[in-house]
Amino acid sequence: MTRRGLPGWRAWAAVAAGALLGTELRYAAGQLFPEPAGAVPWTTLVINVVGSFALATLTTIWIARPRTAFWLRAGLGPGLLGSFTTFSALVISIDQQFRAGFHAAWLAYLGLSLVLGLGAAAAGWKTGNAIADRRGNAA
Amino acid sequence: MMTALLVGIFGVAGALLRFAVDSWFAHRPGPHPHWPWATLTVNLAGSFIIGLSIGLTGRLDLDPDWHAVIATGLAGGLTTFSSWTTATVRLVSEGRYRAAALNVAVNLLAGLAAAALGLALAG
Repeated sequence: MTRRGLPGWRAWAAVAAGALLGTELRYAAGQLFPEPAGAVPWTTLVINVVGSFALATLTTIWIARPRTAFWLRAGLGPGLLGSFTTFSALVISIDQQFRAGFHAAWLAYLGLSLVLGLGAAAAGWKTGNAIADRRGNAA
Repeated sequence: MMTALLVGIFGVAGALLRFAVDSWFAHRPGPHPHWPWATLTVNLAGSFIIGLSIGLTGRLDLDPDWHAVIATGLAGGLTTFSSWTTATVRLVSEGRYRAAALNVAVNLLAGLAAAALGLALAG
């Protein structure tokens, strides 16, 4: 953080670097595992679930260790994981599947995204706390 | 190859925009209790953009690569799923169940409305 509370250049650079990696990983996953129109978009679902677990884990570790460099947190959190996961693709898939009458697919996608996404974040939250506790005891 | 590069550049642009919105909300003075307004803002903006992109690609018969750059790059980089779920779990851990439920519902419902609005405006 610098004057007036705005993040310094290191944080912006770290976000850009993390975002490039996160976006390319998501794009490459979509090329390797394309998502047919009428089916549950598994690629995006897995990306969002994995990203939720990772971000929640890191967030609790950082709450316990607030002295972690801000640029590092920015690069991994909003940069890498924020760009790796996507909300717009979830929303537009549900919209398009609803309009095309693929009701089983969008209902399953919505339900799985909520249950697995929130479940992964909750599991990550517990994992991060456990890691932070163990480190705290060791220190 | 060119598409992959452009997707990356637009993804970075979207993420920097999201980080700017995050920073703006984080340093806004006021007595408001913490609620993930920044994530809601970028998720609505990105959902609107992806709807607009799908609509325009279909109507103007644009190269599907451009849709990939805007949808996967810009809108994908701008919006985030992991902050949405993590912030929800954080609210639950603070015992703020109503705020958590609102966060889930408002992002989804307003996000769907924003995408539909983008599609409608694209004609």
